[in-house]
Amino acid sequence: MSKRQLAMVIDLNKCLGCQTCTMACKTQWTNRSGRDYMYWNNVETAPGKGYPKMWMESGGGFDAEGALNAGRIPSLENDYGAPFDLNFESALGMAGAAEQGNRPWLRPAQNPAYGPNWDEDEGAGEYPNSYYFYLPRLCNHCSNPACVKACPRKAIYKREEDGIVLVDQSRCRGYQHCVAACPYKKVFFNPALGRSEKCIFCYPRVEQGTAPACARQCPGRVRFVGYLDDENGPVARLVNKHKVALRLREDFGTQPNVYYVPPLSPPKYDARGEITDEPRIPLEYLVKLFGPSVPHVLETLRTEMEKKKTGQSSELMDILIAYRHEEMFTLGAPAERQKT
Amino acid sequence: MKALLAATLIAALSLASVPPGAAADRGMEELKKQSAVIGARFVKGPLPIDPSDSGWDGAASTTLTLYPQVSVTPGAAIAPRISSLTVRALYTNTNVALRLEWPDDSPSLERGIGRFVDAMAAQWPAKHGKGIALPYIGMGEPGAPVEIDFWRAGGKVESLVAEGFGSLGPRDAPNAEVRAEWKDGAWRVVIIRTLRFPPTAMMPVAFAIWEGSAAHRDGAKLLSPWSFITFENTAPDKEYVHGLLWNPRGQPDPAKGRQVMEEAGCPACHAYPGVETSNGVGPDLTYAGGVHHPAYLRESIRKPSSFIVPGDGHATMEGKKKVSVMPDSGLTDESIRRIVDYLLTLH
Repeated sequence: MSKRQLAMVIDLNKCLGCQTCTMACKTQWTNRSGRDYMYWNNVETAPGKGYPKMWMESGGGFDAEGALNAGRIPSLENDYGAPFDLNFESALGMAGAAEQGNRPWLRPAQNPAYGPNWDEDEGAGEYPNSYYFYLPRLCNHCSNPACVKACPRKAIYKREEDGIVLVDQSRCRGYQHCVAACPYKKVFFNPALGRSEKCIFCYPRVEQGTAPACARQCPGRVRFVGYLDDENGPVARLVNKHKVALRLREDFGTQPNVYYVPPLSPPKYDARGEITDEPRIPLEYLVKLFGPSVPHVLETLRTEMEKKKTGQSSELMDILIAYRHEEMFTLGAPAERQKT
Repeated sequence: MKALLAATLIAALSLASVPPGAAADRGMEELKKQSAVIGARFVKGPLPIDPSDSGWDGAASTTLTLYPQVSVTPGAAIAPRISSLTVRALYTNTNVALRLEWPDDSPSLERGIGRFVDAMAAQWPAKHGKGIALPYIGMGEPGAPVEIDFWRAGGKVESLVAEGFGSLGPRDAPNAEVRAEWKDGAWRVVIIRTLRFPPTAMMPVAFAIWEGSAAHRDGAKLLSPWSFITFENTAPDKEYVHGLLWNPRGQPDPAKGRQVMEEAGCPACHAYPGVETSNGVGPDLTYAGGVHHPAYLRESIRKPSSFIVPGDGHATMEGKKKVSVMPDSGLTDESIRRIVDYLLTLH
């Protein structure tokens, strides 16, 4: 456990799956040097297979006694999806300009077997009761990180000052135990450099008082970032005061520090097309993801929304609406950080 | 020209220091029964880095057995993945060359996500000699470092140093060169490293190989016991050899040792042939006699806390002191000797 802990809260009711976070992360960190297959941040459709494929069933994390569970290293082709090129030249290039009518469709030059966002918007359920929501995922900078535990070289460490979990590139020897051990599959092996890499919570930005790229670039104002011990910050208020931000798969035992406000959903239709009391997204599915307090949290959200609708004040709704983007981030100025 | 002359002179001087055919020492015969002894042949010319060089034809071969590493997790499967490693050695006055050869039907050459390559390491004690205990076979121990020349398919040699599992780091003065070749179902790897000619005229060395196809990496590897390189023109120091021997005069009594182990309750925590009740807390002893030097086995029974292999559940803290979960047996030296007699049969 570190002295302080940075955390992120992601409001799933506001995420519209635009992938701006994904691209902000990719262009900043993973578009080069063996990282092209990696998505330190991804947004997947839930329910769905996720990225990497079926990560939730890939093992890792801790058992009830606190021992590491065996985990699986995903395959590049079948689970992450190997990066591919498109046939730009034959489909769009100048060479075939004379035969405009006979150009092939623009398509991957190699047939991909999987990829991030492979099952986008598929979701589950039968029309008209089909449903899905978007689930943004990144390294959880866990308080009990399985990757740290699994590394025999102690190459992975958790920073005292903010709890960010980092892979020491000079100690890593590419054994990939961490890749298997992370139940969220958010440690990646860089085959070009022979070492493991992962989300660094944009620590060079954080050290300057700027939020991680995925959070700062989010046009939907979905992500809050701050210290859990900063009682007045929106993160601590959502997690500890209002208790509406929940951990994803807490049962993996790693104590993740990315929290989610679970999604409300429209009601189901019955066979005659009448609206029922039942939510479109099955509660048991949300409970599996975010734990037993989901029904209570959804009730709180409904109550507070109702207050706002009827002109009463609601601190919770004011936080979640996020009137000012910069108020979602309480990182402290660089000088203030140095004192801590 | 001057340099060449000087080199020749040094060669001539050291050649003269020991008369060939020194009286055969019984100690050496005993050591050969106990450990692999690799006879290095002296050559005047440059040492052959090419594994196919005909220069290797003249070197005698020694075959070592490799055992799965099971003392720390993650280790190698205890299943019978035992390989044999054939070693040849040549030397000059400044360098020693080893050629390692082991069978491998399907070489693993490309490293990737969840894919591991074949690899090899030679391990040398940073210090050795009369009165100096051999470092723990698994990458040395605190205070007894080992130098490691590590090669991985597709890579260059890495010069490393370690003082126990998990402590591997780069060595200040790299002094090794490696060339490898896979041909006809076998790896052949040549290591040349500088040789500070040991005053004891015998060099301890141990080897490890990793089979990429078995997802070997890290502690999941096949390991040789400490073995010894002798040098054609220099007889090993008798006292040094004698100090490495186990029970040189007494009669070994492994059956008695096995009985003592049962009475002392060893099978509660350790698995070994015929034991089915072990709780797996202690390391598997199936190959204990193959991997470990007898002096280490004796020490680890006599003073379990004197060196504790890193890993969960091996030790508890008593104040600031790390104490092995293996209890002090309270056994007599005689009983411990019998146990070691028995463990040495496990290989």
